[in-house]
Amino acid sequence: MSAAKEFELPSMPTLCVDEHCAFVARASESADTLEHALTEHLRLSGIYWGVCAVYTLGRLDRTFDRAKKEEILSYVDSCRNENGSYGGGVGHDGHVLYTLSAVQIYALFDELSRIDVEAVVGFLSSMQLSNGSFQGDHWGEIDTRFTYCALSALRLLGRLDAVDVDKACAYINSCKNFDGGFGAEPGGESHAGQVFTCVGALAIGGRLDYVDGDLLGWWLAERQVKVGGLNGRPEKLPDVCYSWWVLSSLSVLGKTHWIDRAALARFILKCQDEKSGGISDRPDDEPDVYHTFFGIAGLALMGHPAVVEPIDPVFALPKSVLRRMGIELSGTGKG
Amino acid sequence: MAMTEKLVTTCPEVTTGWNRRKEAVELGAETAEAARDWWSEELRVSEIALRNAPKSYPSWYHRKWTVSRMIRTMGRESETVRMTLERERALCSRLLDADDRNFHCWAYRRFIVQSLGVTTEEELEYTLKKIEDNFSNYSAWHQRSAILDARGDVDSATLKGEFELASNAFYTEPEDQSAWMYHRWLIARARALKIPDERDAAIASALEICREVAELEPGCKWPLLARASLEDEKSRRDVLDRLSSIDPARVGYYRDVA
Repeated sequence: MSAAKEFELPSMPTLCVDEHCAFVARASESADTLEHALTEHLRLSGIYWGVCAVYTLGRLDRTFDRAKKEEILSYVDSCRNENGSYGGGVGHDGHVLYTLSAVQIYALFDELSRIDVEAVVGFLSSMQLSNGSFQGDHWGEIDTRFTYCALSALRLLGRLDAVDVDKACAYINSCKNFDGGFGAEPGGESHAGQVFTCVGALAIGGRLDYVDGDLLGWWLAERQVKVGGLNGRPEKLPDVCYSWWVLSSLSVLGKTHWIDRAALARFILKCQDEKSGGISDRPDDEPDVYHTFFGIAGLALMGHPAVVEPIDPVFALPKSVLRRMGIELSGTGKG
Repeated sequence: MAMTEKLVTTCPEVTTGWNRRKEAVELGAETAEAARDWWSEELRVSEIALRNAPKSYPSWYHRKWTVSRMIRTMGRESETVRMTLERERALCSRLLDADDRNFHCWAYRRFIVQSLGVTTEEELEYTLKKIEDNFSNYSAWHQRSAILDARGDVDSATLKGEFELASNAFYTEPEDQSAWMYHRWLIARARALKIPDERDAAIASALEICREVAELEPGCKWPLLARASLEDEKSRRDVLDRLSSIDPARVGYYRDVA
């Protein structure tokens, strides 16, 4: 039975849409909490997760009124650095990671005109090194995550021409492992989160031929554990966030039917805080915006009827946002 | 520096704090007094951060940046650099004894042993020790495959030893997927052997062992999965049918590869 039909069964827990939207709204207000202070360095990613979660639930305008939306956008504006990069929060150094988050937030709110495209493109292209890899900032840390962030942001801005895409993809290929997965650098162990970024980057770069779909698809399918959830590496505990990292990769490969989607959906729904909203990593843990978004995004890929805006597995943005931007949607096989 | 130390040891994920330290190091390097022994402080502070948060990307990177800068400014042959690299290798061993799956530490260790010029044989020996300590150590199996792959074609004598190592693991822990995943890679390497007799012998011997494990562990999916890639067409279908019934979550996969 397909997961979409399973969602109608009485045994399937309900997705608490109202509660999750309230949870995201509260998270965006609670500036005086300790959690808020400790996560200030990745505030832009937090905003992207929250905004994208309510968008996919079809509640963007109801959750954020005009004033709140402007407050969020001004905050993003103020995270911009002179070199065109964005920091994770105000006063933080710019980084490729948060530059993508900023572009994603502007895209979600249809406010791309607030971006100084040339400056962002200039920063991102200056991060590419001669072997095709990307550093996260000028201090030189290299990671395939940064390749994805740069290529995704550049594609969203229509400026992939500013970097050497072939070299970027060849570098990712050099990070491929014996199990078909990818690591952060050549020789780095496969990790489902890293697989998402590498498969996504290769999809954007038009080089999915570098992927051994049967081998990697199988490794990804083996991430599902008995309780239905997915882990990120062999012999590890399941975590809701891998619902996204694994399932999106399988989706790009056209192989989401290689796992038990209904069991995964049940696992995600069991991680909900049904009273106060939010989704946690595992049942009965403390929810946060990160797991809330990736849980909902995973359900979106499985066609949950309450997630009204289908999400694109490569860009991690609603398909309607990409369509609005005139971006061709990723071909996702039968999965 | 005291302020950033407090920041990065309490909240090691704040990259900006580490960046201020890097800037200070670079500025300080201009005066001879401050330049003396600048690295000890960076290694000390990042070690505190890593003790509290062993999976913190910025803390690991700060350490790598520090050691890279030492190598760049003092040269690989400098006594201080060599001593530091050896100390770092020992630190990695300690941390991997505490958590043998910490991929940050494995990555950092690769950088250290590469800088030290450690031989492939010595590194293979280390992965063997880690695997024998714990057959579930997928990180060590991975590292072993990466070393063998980097060394070039895996020859039939090497393969024979590796098949034995994997078999030892799944005779002991048949349900542990680490050795089985390594085994799948070995089968692919065996198929790539250039001499047909060697290739056929390697495949036949792998099949024999998988049949034996499957008989000993009738409820275990892993030997069946390996057999599915080794058996002839007819037996293969039977094996895939059995897999579909004992591992229904992945029935879509078994159908597609049938």
